[in-house]
Amino acid sequence: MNTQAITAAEAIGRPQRARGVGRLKAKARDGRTRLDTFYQEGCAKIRLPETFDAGMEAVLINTSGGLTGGDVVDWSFEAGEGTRLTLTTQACEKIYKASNGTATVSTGITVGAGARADWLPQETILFDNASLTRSLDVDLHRDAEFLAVEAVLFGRKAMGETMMAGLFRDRWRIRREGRLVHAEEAHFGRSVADLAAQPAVLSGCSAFATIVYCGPQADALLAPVRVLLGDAMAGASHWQDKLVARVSAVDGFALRKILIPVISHLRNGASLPKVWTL
Amino acid sequence: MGEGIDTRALLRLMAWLSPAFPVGGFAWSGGLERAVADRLVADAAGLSAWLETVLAHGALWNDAVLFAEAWRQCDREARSRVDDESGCRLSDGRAPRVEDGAGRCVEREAGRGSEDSSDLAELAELGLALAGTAERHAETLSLGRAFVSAASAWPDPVLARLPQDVPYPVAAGALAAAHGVPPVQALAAYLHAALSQSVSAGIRLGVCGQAAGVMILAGLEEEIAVVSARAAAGTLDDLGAAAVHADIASLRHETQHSRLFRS
Repeated sequence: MNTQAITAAEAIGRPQRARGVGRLKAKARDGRTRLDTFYQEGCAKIRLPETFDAGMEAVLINTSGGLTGGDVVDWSFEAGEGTRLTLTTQACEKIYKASNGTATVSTGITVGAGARADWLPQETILFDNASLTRSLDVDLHRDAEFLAVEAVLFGRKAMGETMMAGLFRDRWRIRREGRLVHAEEAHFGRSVADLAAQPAVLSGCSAFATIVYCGPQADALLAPVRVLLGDAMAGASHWQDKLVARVSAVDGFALRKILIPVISHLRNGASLPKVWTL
Repeated sequence: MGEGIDTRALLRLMAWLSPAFPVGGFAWSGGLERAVADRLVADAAGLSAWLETVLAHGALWNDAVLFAEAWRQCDREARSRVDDESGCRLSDGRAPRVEDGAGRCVEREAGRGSEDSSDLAELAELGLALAGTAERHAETLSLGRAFVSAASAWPDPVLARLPQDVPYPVAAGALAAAHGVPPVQALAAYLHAALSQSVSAGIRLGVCGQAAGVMILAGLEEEIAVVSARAAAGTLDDLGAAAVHADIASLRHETQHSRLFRS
């Protein structure tokens, strides 16, 4: 296996692969969402800032300060019956050049009866020759509500960085009562910049986001979301019990400007995590 | 051409994927209509590049992977059926398809039969869940259902095993396997038909003329062959697309004011 072949430079500079496991379960008590179980190991840390409403906000931290080939992070969350759980990250996840292997980030989210979970990590930034393989597996109760927003930046344009080559794979599976209701399969491989230059891909833009909402308000949210997307390179549609919106933008700042009001609206008035500011 | 294809299989493939086969493919543009309106596609060169991306890195690539997986699942089923009849020939006298190079029946995969319809149902569910926009979902479902209904002219037990809600590539892949059409050729024909339909849509949208449209199809031949071979040799793990703007165009088509196409 490639992962066994650690070069001398790596042995000195970065001897350990980052490993992290974080788990959290929330339960409802006295009309508020409270902590039920909590576990963290390795580079995965979870902070629970005080909130001013009945919901819980969990801020995920990767203490290794970025990921590279061979790193493995595993998150799992459960929003118990009647809870409101918002998950975000303290920083943008930075994926650095991988000498070998891919960074693996797996997230599992279970949302119970009458509960709602919002998966709102900050942008993932992929640097040149980064390799990231990510998965998001969601299990929803019959009447659970779920919102996911994932934003990806190929380098930081303002810093003159571009992801020329590398790998980005993102696999989502959202199930309701065991039935697959939504799947996403993103795959940018090898010459990422050449691919992103194609008009059918990103017309050279370096930022894009996928927004999926599953729940009873999908229909009602569509019209206002379309208004908020305005004349951005974006679109939204609704079918079955889901709303899907996709956005591209020249850089991360432009993307955030579009995303913030949209996420805010999709949260139905609940405040946005503080990290989601311009 | 490598693997050969017998005349009867070729005729069936031509029938199923002909524009005259009543699935209604002409009514859909897969978001191309909006891409043209948004000036993402402006001329023949642009249309060619757009279609090549959709084929190798977009919805059509995922369709190819789903088609190939449906083909494999139904091929396994066909194999065990051949074995059950203790011979290499099906009762309707169709040519054997389960032979190795020396003409022997290849090994049986016992007990696959009952599993297969649930595998197919799961695959259909995945195909529909992967349709990234409302119109793409409507398109693949409408074409898939119409395909199954029209294909009843070639009776085969596989038609009954397909779920009611079936995406187009899963229906087409399953039927191709059941009738012994080799996967690479079946995929190439499927992809060619989809791209022909898109080129025809492009012509109707005024992106290019007939002659340029034919040139685009000729130019895509090599990529169709590559993608067909790659998908036929792949697994569901090879699903994955990058065509974000093609998806956005499909989403934006819903709000386009004057439209010739349903997607």
